[in-house]
Amino acid sequence: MTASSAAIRGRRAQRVRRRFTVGAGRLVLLAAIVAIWQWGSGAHVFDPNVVSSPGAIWQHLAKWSLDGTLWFHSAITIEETLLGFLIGTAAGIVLGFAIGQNRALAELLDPFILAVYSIPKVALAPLFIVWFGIGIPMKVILAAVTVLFIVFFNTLAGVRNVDRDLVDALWLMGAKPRQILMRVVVPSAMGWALIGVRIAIPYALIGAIIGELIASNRGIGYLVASSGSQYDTAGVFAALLVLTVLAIALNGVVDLIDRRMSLWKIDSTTTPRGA
Amino acid sequence: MISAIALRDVGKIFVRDDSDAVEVLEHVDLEIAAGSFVTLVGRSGCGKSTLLNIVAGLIVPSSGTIAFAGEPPAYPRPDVGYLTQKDTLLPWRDVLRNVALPLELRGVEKAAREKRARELLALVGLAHAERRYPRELSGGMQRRASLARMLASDPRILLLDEPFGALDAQLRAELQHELLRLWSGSGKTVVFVTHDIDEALVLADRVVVLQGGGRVAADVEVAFARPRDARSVRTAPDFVALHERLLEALGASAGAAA
Repeated sequence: MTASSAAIRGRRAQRVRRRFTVGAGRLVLLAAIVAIWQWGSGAHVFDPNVVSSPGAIWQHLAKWSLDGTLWFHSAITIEETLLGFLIGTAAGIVLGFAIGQNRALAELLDPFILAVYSIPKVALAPLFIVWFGIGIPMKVILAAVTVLFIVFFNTLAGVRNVDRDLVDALWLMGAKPRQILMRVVVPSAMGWALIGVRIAIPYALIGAIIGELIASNRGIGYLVASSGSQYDTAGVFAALLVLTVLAIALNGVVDLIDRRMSLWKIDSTTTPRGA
Repeated sequence: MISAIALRDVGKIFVRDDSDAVEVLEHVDLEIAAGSFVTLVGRSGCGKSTLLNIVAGLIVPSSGTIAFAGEPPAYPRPDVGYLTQKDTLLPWRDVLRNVALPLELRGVEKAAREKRARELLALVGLAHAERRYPRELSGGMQRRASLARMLASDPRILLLDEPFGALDAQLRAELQHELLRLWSGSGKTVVFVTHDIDEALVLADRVVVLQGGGRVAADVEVAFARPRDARSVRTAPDFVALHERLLEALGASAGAAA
């Protein structure tokens, strides 16, 4: 036992060392890129109008953060993303269960759903502008529609993949359709639905940003677009940097959900146990 | 005397597509006496699982009738418990909540159903595992949990479809013993499907050998004294003769099926 615990300790130490080495390497790489970038634009190796420079980007960020621009536009984008995500997720799950439960309806709607699914959601933006204007609702809806389809298809697949034997088992116990829905179909399909939700999170941000890029006067996407139209490369990079931070934060949320979901994942893989 | 289960002229044809149909059961007549332990023995594909599914109500027969205690069937019927080959414990519920499920569906309140579930878990030797999830249980423990869940609705009739088929010999003997212990004196009617003659003889009052199409190839009373265990049955004087007879019937049915 002591031998094995010593071996485990050894491996753990090795892993910590490795993680430290990789982290340090990444920092060095980042510093090198920033240094070369800064030096290159200063020495006019690169055209500073085209690639800007880390210093200029930093100044932009400092200015935006001091005058509130940064917080104002970030808040707008976050609001659109979250609202779109919540609306799309709720609608996707409800529709997935409603249509998945009804075989005839699913069959009837199948080609229509697929047709709408096939459209790149970005292409719907002009239509949404006509319908909903260029304000925040348009971005929320664009994000929601993108999320909705991802969540919907996963939920639908989940409902269709419910283990028949479990449904039969409950029916044999005298369960009513509603009891079967709540005790077998929902918990079993929820694992799939959550996978859809997890995939959809970054898409909510994409939907909101695209809406802002196309038509708006606020949001991070607007900052990118308006800086670009003024040939303000530093502004574009600064806005992209903010966007990167937002996306990384969202990915952190996804990781968190992933960890919470591990229970479900194990469930869905062990369910089809053969005799 | 009215039989617990009576099948009359039952047939089942599975239609695969327009040109292909398989007749799994034809003209099956079978009566099961109330309170008896009957094993149905047959080779794979003889229709024994289909027969059990029909009794349980999962499959509607193409022809013929079925009666419970002389009454035409109304499904679903919680007085029939069905233990399938495959475990159907809900993976997102722990053992206790799985066993309590039949009572929960019936609207029994939480404290009462959990008390009953704990009693049943103690009965099948799983009292220590009530908070575990099905995936954390061994094959034998899953079977025990399934058995407890089936008993929770206190069914009068137990249908078991090769319930211990996937277990090793040791564990199978153990669970056979447990099943007999649970059944004896309960007055429940048991229909137990297996392809294992030894298992059939250890358990049953009566062994029915089915041919292809579900026709009866042999119908034998097993009079070994109860309580029994695998050992006492195997050393009983008639065991070899009975075993031989059933094996012959099973062999003949294989010939008929081919």
